[in-house]
Amino acid sequence: MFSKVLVANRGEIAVRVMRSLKEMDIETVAVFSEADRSALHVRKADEAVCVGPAASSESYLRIDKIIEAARTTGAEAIHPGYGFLSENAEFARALNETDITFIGPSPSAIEAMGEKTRARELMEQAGVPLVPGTPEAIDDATVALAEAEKMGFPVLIKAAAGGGGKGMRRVNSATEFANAFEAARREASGAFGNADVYVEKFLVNPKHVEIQILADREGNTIHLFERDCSVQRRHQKIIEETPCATLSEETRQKMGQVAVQAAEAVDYEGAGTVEFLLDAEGNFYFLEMNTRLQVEHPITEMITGIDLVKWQVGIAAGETLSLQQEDVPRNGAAMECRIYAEDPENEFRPSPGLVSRIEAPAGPGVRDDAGTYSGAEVPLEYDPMVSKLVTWGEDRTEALWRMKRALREYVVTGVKTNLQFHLEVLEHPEFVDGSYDTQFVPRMMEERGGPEKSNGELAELAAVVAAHRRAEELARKAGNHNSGPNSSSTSRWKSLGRYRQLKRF
Amino acid sequence: MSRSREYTVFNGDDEQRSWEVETLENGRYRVTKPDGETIEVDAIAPDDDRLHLLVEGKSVDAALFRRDSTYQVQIDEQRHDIEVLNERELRMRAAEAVTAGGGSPQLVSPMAGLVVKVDAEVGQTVEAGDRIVVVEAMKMENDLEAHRSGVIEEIPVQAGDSVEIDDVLAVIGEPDDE
Repeated sequence: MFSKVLVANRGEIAVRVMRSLKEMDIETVAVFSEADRSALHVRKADEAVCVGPAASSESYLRIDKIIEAARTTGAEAIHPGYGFLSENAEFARALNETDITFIGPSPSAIEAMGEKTRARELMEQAGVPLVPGTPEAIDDATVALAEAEKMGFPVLIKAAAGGGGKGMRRVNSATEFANAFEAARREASGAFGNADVYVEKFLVNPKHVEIQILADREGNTIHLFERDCSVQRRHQKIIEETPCATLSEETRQKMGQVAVQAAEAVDYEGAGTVEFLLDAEGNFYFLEMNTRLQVEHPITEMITGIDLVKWQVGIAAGETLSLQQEDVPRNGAAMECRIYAEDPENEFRPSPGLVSRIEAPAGPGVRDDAGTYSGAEVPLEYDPMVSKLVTWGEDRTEALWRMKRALREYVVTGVKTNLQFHLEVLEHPEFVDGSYDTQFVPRMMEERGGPEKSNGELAELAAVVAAHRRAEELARKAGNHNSGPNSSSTSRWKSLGRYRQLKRF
Repeated sequence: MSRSREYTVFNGDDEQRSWEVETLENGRYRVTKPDGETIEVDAIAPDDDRLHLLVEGKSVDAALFRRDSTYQVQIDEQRHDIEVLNERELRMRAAEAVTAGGGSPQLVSPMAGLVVKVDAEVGQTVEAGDRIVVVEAMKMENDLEAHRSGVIEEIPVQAGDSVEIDDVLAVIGEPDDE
């Protein structure tokens, strides 16, 4: 086993990874940018190395500087966390040329899954279901219609040269097809100078469900069940939960097996996640594979009792999985809310700045993976995530009520957060019954008036009392200041001390 | 000993609400709400940015963060931005608003002192420059004159009152105000 590991990341994930390393009696090295001198992960590490200016491209993304930091501190392995260099094949390859171990899959596995078209090809060969679509461009409307009918309506006609939603057309029935097809070709030709179009099945309001997998170097691969990540906005996940409330046991098993097949197809090693789209009939289709630890991994840890980071480190050190698929524990339900310094009432704009006070909830079934502390800044330069709040319950209802309780306990002052928005989601009927899909949040935002303000009068009372206490305190200080040497200033100090003891201050 | 203080609250709606707080013994306060109801509140600050209130037995564990005159208040998951102005800040706000818009109705004291004489009464029409109040400060009497012409709507002070800087001495409405 390693005796020292460098964590090439920042914020909550760096802190979370270091926690597992400490439990494994491994020394920890943090790297930080000039903007992160006072960041929590620097405080929590055994050693810390500054790797450059605030811009990620000059610090956290600098392969040379990270490797140099590992060399100078004598770290034997690097954990990349998520984001930054975690899915960078070049980084993994550069490390392979040193004696420093990359805690993650092989560069070729990262590459295979990183390129969409190649990943699709590989997955098709491995028997992983893909969203049905024509493999090549079609120029004949009759042939295209036959294909569309095979997939079932609605379908999507997509320009081969398009991207980012451009050049896409949804067709709901065979009668509209011929016209839409010709129109799409004309549009594609006009917009991209290329009339080629594909036909793909359009999934109506699918769920985003993913499977956690673990694989060792000897090819033992297991899955650790699913996570439903459909509560998202602009492809940003907000709340994740496991199990997925609408997934049948049969589909869960099938999905798990397919995820294992997908991982095996690229000789995967370490922890990874296979993402699927799940439609209302229980059909699921491969979306992509993330070749790293996911933000939402804690909910899987909560229901399985397995520390995924420890296994990542162990596997990288050459350990074999001690668990067989049938032995993977599964107990209860868990959910995660991502607490961001952002303003939901202002298009979710980041709200960086001073976290004057942060008080995390505690108590039964609550886990808080925070990346900041009272008095710290949420820097402008990076992701504004403050914390990941996770709850576990014997069942979904308990996990949900725990989350609501924990969110109400959570205190963050100074920056704006999405705490109240989370409560709104958790109390929405679509969330409560678990039927929500990836379009749930956009729909909710349309019909939403604004946050509830039932505590308005109490909040005013608190603000007024606070202002009054401050006014009196200022007056008292002024009084002290003006009093002469023979005045009652000593007794004033005494009374101030008494006041403090009584916490009446 | 402690006088009661008035606070004006702006809670984001256009509404402006008046509160009054008087300090009692032992961290207790008598609060008059905007609707006139009076309640007693027990307050402690258990930690930075925290204020705990007992409001007639109800426990309110609030978090507060002050930026200028605005308090960001969190109670449970709800968050409120509440601007609180004391009497002086409110007068200054009004004065600023009027400087921008031309002609504040309020004549405010430029000094702290003792009111020795009031030379006008409510309802009287005055010209700018007329003496309204005499305030003694530093053993000198100062004539405080109407800052504009109009009808006296209010004179909140009387001889013998002590006043602070920016306290309102008179409110002078437009001459043909309805």
